[in-house]
Amino acid sequence: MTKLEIKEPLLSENSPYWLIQKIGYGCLLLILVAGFFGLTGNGYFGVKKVTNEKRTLNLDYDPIIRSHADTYVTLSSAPINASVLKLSVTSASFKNTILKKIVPAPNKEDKSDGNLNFYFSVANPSQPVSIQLWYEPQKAGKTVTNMSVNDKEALTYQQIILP
Amino acid sequence: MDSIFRAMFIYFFLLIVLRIAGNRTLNEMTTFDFVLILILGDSSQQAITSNDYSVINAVIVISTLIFLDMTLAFLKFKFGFLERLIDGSPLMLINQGKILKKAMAREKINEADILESARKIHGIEHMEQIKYAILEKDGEITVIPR
Repeated sequence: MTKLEIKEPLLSENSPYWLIQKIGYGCLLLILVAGFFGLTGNGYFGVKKVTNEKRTLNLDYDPIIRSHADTYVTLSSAPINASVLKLSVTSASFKNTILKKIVPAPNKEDKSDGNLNFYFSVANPSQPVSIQLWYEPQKAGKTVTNMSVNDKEALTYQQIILP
Repeated sequence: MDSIFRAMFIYFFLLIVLRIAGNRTLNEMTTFDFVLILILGDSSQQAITSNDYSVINAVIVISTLIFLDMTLAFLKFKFGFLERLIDGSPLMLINQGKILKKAMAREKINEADILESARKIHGIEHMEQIKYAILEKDGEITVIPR
């Protein structure tokens, strides 16, 4: 303690503000931790994998996504032993969504029975197939999507769309 | 998580770049500086948000930047060397009426700049009327008249 200092009691009109500041600092830290672990979507640790019962279909997806932000799901299928792969997804899930791109690009697409169908030609039917769907949700909420390949193998996944 | 790292990277990058530019850049706003600040702001915004225009992303980016700022402020308070490293130190430009040319050249400040500050605050007309002139950490020039 120098001769310029005095022992002052730390009672001030600012005390409540200092307390709020400390709590706020903790809240900011919590938001960052939540963001880091994927609780606010687009997190590396948040990516989930679902597989159908026969283990012929795999889907990598983010269970929490954000509206007005690009996101994608990756579907991997075991060899289908056919020259054409038909991928069907629930069209209701893509009602408020902009479908940005599909990799590889489908040869044909149509709608039937509440599904969006995409047709891909398969060069080597004995090889596994991987398809990526890129999209941008436009509305916050929750979606449950059914995905099937050649009307046989199917799986369901659920996504929460944050604002 | 991307947004957190992007915001952190841009924050530290801007901190370093502005530190390299010198204290005076922060304070002196010429037309060129104004254009530079506009471009910096726009480029940073694009780099941080990328294609994510969600509300939650804005919340995360703002939280990251404020958290970093509060943490750095705390660390600067605790460790003096960090404050000198990040914010720099005040620099004497005129000492006891003597002009320190080397220091002025280092910070690219001329006599006209010092006289401008002296005129604005104290209505001083001549350099001889100045006892001390100090370039503060925020780029402001403090003038103490004789």
